[in-house]
Amino acid sequence: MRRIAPLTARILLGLIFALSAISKLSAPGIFQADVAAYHIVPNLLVAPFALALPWLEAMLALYLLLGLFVRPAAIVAGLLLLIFTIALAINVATGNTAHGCGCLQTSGLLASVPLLSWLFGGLTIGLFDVVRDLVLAGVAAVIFWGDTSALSLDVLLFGERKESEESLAVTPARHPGADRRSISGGWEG
Amino acid sequence: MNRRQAKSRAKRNQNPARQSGSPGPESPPTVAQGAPSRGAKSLNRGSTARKADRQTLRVGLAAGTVVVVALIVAVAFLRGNLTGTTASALTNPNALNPVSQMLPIGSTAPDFDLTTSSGQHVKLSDLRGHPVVLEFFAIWCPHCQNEAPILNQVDTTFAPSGEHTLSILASPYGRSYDTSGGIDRSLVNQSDLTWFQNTFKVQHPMLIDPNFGTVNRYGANSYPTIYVVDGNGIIRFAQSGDVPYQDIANALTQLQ
Repeated sequence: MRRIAPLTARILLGLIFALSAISKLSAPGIFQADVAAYHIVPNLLVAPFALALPWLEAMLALYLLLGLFVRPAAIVAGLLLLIFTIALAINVATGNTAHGCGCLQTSGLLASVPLLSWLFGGLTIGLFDVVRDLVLAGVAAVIFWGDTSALSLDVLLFGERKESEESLAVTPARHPGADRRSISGGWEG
Repeated sequence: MNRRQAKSRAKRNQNPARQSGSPGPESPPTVAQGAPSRGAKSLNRGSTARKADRQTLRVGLAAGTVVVVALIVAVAFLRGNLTGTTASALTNPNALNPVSQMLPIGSTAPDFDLTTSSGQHVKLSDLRGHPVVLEFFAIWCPHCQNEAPILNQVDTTFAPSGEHTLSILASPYGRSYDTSGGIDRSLVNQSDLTWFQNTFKVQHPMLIDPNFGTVNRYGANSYPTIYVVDGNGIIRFAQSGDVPYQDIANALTQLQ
């Protein structure tokens, strides 16, 4: 259970970021329009932001699903989701809600998946979107503070666990009593 | 040294095999003694080497990640600033939500004040006294592209007698929009409009409806949607799809 919750959180967040990246890359124009509609990102930065974000999300998804640099990935994912939450909250608070969320472009590839449409779709934004992104930031926190060693490339490549086991195994050799020669010298003297 | 101690020492010297655990300081270590020591050292060395390898791999992958992120951001900045697609996007796709029915013949044409891409204002009510052909069109739509020469013919025939034709942009997507499900769904921008104007030699004003307010009010659900409005602002003809020249010409002729 200690390892299952973070693993489930990793897969969930990884899949969401993957779908988000794919849907944005398949409808770049709509995503740019949504970013612009928030009136938070300066005009000059809207296009670069909208072009870069899907690829960064794809990287995050890959790292989370593979279990590579899981904790740094969880930090980045959590910060991104908090930024999204704040942007949504500002727009909901100021009444600028007549635009798409820009979270998952459900009008294209994902239109046929009702759950995704319900979670991320809609022509307007609202309090639901704010709460959803906040909950997802919580999911990132579960990964960060949990035991992420299950099905993880971090363990396979960097052997964080094995290293600790090895350090335990060689400890007796470092113990003064293990070096018989020094003891024998002492006897002889 | 008493007699008992001397005896004990002599006994130890006579039987060196029993002293395996205690050679003299200069004597070389036996295999049994040396093996654990060398093993521990080589284990230590092996472990340290593996640890170093893993550290190198970790640093390498982390550096690779940073480089890839930097490349993504750099390319996004270059492409974003060169193309500026958002800055020049002409419409807000989320605002497109036309009423389901076209406006009926005999109803009053809702007034609008829209601009061309060059900033020229066109207000419908300013054209009272003149018949107006309104076309709601999409850059990518093949039927609209077919309709363009027909409207050019209408202009040629009827404009000299006071007729005005206005084409209103009614889709958020540019010329690369794929109707089969869509890979490139880039928003319509100035270059799309210029392309359409040049390719189909459009002479009449092409109007931009940024939030599709007019498109929504006129129920322009399909492309093209064509209305003929008389000099009093009343709709006299309404049809969508491929509209033949003769139908528009007949409607205009009846107004004269």
